[in-house]
Amino acid sequence: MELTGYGIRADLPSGWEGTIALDRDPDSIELVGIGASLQPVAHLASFALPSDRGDFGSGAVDVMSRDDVFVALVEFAPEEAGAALFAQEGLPRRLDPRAFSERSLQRGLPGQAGLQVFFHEAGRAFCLYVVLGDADDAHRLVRDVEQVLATLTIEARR
Amino acid sequence: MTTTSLRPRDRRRTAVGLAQRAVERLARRSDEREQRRDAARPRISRRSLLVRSAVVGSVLTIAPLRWATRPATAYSEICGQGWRCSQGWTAFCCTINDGANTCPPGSYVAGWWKIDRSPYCQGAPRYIIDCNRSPGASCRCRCADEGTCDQRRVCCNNFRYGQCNTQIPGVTEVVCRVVLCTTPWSWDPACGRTLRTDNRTTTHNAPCLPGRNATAIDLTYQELGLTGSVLGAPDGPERSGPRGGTWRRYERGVITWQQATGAVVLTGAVGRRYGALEGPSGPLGYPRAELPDERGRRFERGGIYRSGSAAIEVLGPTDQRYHELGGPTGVLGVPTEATTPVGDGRGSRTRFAEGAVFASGRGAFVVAGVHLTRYDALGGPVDSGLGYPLADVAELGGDLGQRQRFETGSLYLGGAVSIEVLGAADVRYDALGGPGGVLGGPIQPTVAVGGEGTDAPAGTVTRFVAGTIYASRSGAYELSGRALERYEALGGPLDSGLGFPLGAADPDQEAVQRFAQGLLVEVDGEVVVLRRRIARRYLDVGGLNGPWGTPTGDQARTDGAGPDALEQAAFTEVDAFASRSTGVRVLDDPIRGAYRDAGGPDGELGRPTADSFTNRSGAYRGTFQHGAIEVHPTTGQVRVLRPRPTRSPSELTSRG
Repeated sequence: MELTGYGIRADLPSGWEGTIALDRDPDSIELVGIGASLQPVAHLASFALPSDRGDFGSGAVDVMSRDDVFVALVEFAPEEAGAALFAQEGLPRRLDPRAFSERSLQRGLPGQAGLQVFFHEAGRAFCLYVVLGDADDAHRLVRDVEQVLATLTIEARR
Repeated sequence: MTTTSLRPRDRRRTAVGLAQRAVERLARRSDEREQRRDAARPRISRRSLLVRSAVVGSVLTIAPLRWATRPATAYSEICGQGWRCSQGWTAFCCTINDGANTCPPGSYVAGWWKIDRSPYCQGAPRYIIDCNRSPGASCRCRCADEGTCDQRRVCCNNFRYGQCNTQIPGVTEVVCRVVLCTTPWSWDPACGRTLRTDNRTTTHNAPCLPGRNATAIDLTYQELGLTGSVLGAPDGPERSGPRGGTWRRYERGVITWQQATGAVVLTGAVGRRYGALEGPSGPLGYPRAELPDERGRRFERGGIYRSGSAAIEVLGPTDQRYHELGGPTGVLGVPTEATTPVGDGRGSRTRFAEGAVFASGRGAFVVAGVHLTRYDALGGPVDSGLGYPLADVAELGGDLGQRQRFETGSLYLGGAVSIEVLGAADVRYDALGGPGGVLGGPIQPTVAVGGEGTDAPAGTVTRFVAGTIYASRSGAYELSGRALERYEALGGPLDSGLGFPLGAADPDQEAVQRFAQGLLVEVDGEVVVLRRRIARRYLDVGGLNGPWGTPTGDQARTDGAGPDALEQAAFTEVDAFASRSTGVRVLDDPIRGAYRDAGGPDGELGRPTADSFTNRSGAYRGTFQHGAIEVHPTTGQVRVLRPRPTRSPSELTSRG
């Protein structure tokens, strides 16, 4: 399944689902009126995503099984692309399973492991956040994630 | 049967009591379930149980019925979902940072997310700010103090939202979370504006944070950092203020709220003083809209200004005047004593580094320098005799000095000295042109003479360069020149026998000055005294312009000092005599001359009993106690008539 939006494209394997979306909540629209920056968020998961999710997957990671993975590609305001936090260039398509940690999670849930990478690509600033359902099976689950990352492309914003 | 009626308060207490028991039962069951489910977790300590009881109490005040009927823990009602450490979320900073809603030392603001339409922000977005461990700092992954329901994790989740301080690379553990109801980028400019949202955390809260019923003041205090703010800890509950507003006092300041202005924070010495003065419920009212500066703050009915380490209030019209004069950087400098009522209840006094302002219903005016020194020495508004000022000091131009008007007098600058001119004397002085007029400047202040405890009439004396004003119940009048010298030489109002002046020098008869008991008449450079009846009669017949002419010497007492003493005065055209028994009698020529020749009052004829006159036959005639004098109109022959011992006065016969 091909997923496209906001200059981001991904091909998802069978059984995966995902979204690339902007926050359309009225509160957010109102905040944009006073200077907030609205940037897209891509959620890619090997399981059925609940509709009520936080940008970094809260609500989704609660319901994922040990065999599942969750990927969030979270964009920041483009002026951040040059900041030290986003100094790494390019979306990492190969991930080291050893870099995943049970403590690298927004919310520490038993058995899960996470990895967070800030980078810039095509003049855009991103954070890649990956959650594995089973920290003990990181090698297998990381391969699943890499399979999706290999299809992920980021274009410069027009 | 006995029935008991409950007052509303009792009913409420009973309802809470029932609800409390129900909740405690439910909470106990719930806790038992939790205990069974989490058997591996450590047992709850006695302290923790006590804290839980306290939280249940808090819940009961929020939603007792909901809690009486719903099986859930009191902890999740206060702290929301995921309050347990094992549930993976990070604790709020106020839980672990002595109540401060700020990033603790060793952490920095690393990112944030929002929660839409939050009940904790009166329906507006709520923002959760992550405080991450600073690079180089250390912290230990742990659970927050179990003495609260916010038992979430501390320094465990190695995660970064990423909108703030992006100059710091890398990801470190989230130490704790700060809560705001205002945008993070307005709270900390180091935060970017990229929106991130997580409405799954809507219920997250802690006992140290405002609850769902948070007021604007609660939220403002939260934004400032709660106990970690410049305000310090609350010093009492939020209170109602005038006109529907509210306010709350803290250790180091006050927050006020009104519909029109929103919340206003007052900190430091000014804030503490405002709190001590009962905030908007006190004499100052609410803060004004204009921004404060480091020197002070203005309110609806006054201001509070910094003076060294103190903060001093200036109230009412005095503050308006102070503001017009430039406030702390103006001519008055900083206040040194707060506005205080004056003893008479009609006004107030406020002291500043360079003067004072006295306010009354007539306005607020500055008294400064030597005038203030004098005004204070005299006793200020109540005891000085001046009352309250009516104007600021005025420069009179040239070398005339200054004048400051008060309700019942003025202060004048004479040389380097402030001199008071009081009451009617000042009114008269003003009418005469003040220091620029005929009297020149004052050289001695107004002093009271006579009156109570003396035989003399009450009045005042005020001396000027070129004269003196004597004031009494009859008015205030000036004397100058020789008349003044003579009057003073005679003893002035108390000892001259003339009393106080009744008028100024007669404009038609510039040389005549009237007094309560006489006249001073200036004749050829000499000042002559006329007293009482002769003086009155002289004025009645026209004074200097009348038939008597001018006096040729002081009125004299010629016949003893008893009650029937004779007063005598000589004029160019007549001699005047006055006594109680004979009244005022006037003799003109030729009778005057003949009477003098006959020895006058000391002669055989005694005192005159009538004015001299011309009879039917044209002869001049004067009658006296012991005889008469007739002068033939053409021959000038003088006849002194003596009464026969046994005859009536009509049978008088000629003697010579």
